[in-house]
Amino acid sequence: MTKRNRMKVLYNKQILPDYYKLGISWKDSPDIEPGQFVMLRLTGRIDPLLRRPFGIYKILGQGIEILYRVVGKGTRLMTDLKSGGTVDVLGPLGNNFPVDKHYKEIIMVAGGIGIVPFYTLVEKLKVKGSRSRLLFGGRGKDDLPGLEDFKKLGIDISISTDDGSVGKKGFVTKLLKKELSKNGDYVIYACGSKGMLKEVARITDEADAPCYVSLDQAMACGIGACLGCAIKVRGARLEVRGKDLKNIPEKYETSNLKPQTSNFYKMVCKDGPVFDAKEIAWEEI
Amino acid sequence: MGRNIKKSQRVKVSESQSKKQLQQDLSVNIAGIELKNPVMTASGTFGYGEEFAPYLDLNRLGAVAVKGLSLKPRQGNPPPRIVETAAGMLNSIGLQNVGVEVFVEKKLPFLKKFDTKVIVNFFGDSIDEYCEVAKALDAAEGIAGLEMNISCPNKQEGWLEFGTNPEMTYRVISAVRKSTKLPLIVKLSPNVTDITLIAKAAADAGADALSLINTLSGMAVDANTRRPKLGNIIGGLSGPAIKPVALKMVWQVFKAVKLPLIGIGGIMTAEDAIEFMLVGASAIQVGTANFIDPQASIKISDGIGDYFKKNKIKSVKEIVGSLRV
Repeated sequence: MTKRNRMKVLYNKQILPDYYKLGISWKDSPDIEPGQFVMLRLTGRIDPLLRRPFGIYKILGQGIEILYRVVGKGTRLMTDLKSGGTVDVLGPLGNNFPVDKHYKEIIMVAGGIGIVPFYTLVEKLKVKGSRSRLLFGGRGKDDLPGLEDFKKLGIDISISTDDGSVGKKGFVTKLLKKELSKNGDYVIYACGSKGMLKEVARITDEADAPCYVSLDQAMACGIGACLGCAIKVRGARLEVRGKDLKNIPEKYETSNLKPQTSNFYKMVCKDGPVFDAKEIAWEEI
Repeated sequence: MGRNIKKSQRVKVSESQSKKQLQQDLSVNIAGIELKNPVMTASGTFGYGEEFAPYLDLNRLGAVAVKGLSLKPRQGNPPPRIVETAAGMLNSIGLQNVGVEVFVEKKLPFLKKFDTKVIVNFFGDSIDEYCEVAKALDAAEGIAGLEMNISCPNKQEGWLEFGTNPEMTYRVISAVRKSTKLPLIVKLSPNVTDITLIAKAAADAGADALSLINTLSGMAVDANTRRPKLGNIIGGLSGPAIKPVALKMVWQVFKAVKLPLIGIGGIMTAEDAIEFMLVGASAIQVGTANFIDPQASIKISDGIGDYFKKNKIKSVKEIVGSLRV
């Protein structure tokens, strides 16, 4: 059940020069699935005007933790939040990473702040007994937020940085390419910049490996009303590894009479943020 | 038509009102549409109602104006479609919608379940399309009125926006007027040199009410990438930034034409709504505020009630256009 509420700030701490962790109290917290997000707003402020989407990083006993990067006016103001203060939360929203099918190995590809959806995912998959491997890329050593948390989870981690300050020098997609050269029963989950995701989609497509990506797009409402967060998807009903993707919501079909054959828009907030990488019309992004 | 069933509707409305609201009469009649309170949700900011149903009681709204419909479904514009600007937002959704047929079959039945008025916003690329959409909606059950968006280019005649030219405004509205018996609200564009000329043309052509303003045309640029911030380059500005412009235009039109007016433009609070009523609006629409707080519209409705109580105002009529000048 989606909720909207004014919620108490438990803590707000800097973990890296540009990264913070915000703990929010959420009594009778709802079921949150890996990949879901909330729309946040600073209580009482109309500048910034719109809420902003934030992925849920951790589920606490009675609350959630948001991991955020300071990128603009809103996130700069967020750094001033103190324990006991409040934020307005709408959520949890969106779909989640599919975890029903069992794979022996889960490969997560994260770029910088793209690490956010994976903590809850690893926790969930641990219960299911899958082996997890994290490929984590950033611009430099200060662009790998949450790395310590993942080390504590005891999963395999490979790191790359653009400047070579930690791990392999270069893009994280290079690490993925190496992983996929081995045969195995795996699925790839990715979150990061659109450029990174596009390359992940290309590599996994070539390797014929299943891949799901979590996307970000500017949005106003988060609940499918403003139609702001449009993303182009392939129109033809997809045969993905023998499974017909029939989940095109009727409201976004451009006709109720025949199946879509041309590319069309889905909404990142409601149809996503997680999509099968094969479904996205990458050439139009 | 609406006028014949007005009495029975009023009874139904007062029964459904909460005790809190009973103390003030917030009801208002716009073009024969009896609203339980003057608060409507603005087209394009409230989907087809169902998106917001989990967050607020739709029964408490005066009316829901649904996302604008065209004859055939529309894909909309390439992203990014939304960008925040100082005290406002720009959008270039591009009128994405399911089309009139899917709306009537799949969206309207849901909305009909609620005790609120359904106002259907619509548009076209040509006078013919406007008329066809109006006819299709006229044939459907459960629609209280139509809101005609005239801020669209006339693709058959030089791509000029209908609502920026008095003659074209007159022609398209008189054609639609003959295509429907439903109350016809015309939504005016602010992107004109003199809005009163357009308002008069709309009145002469047979509009029953006017709603104003639509978004202000605008754009946003990224100095670092040297690119436009919207996929469509230009878009429409909404939110608190446009309220002063909207107030002025409602006031101008109030003095120029006799039609009931619906005020729109950056309404975030009940006080904003009252300001629009003072300059001549009989009802108001809440738009961008729905994105910020899904319950904004009913909070505004409650706040109007509180204002009426505090200021001993007995009816909406008493305050409309009562600006002290």
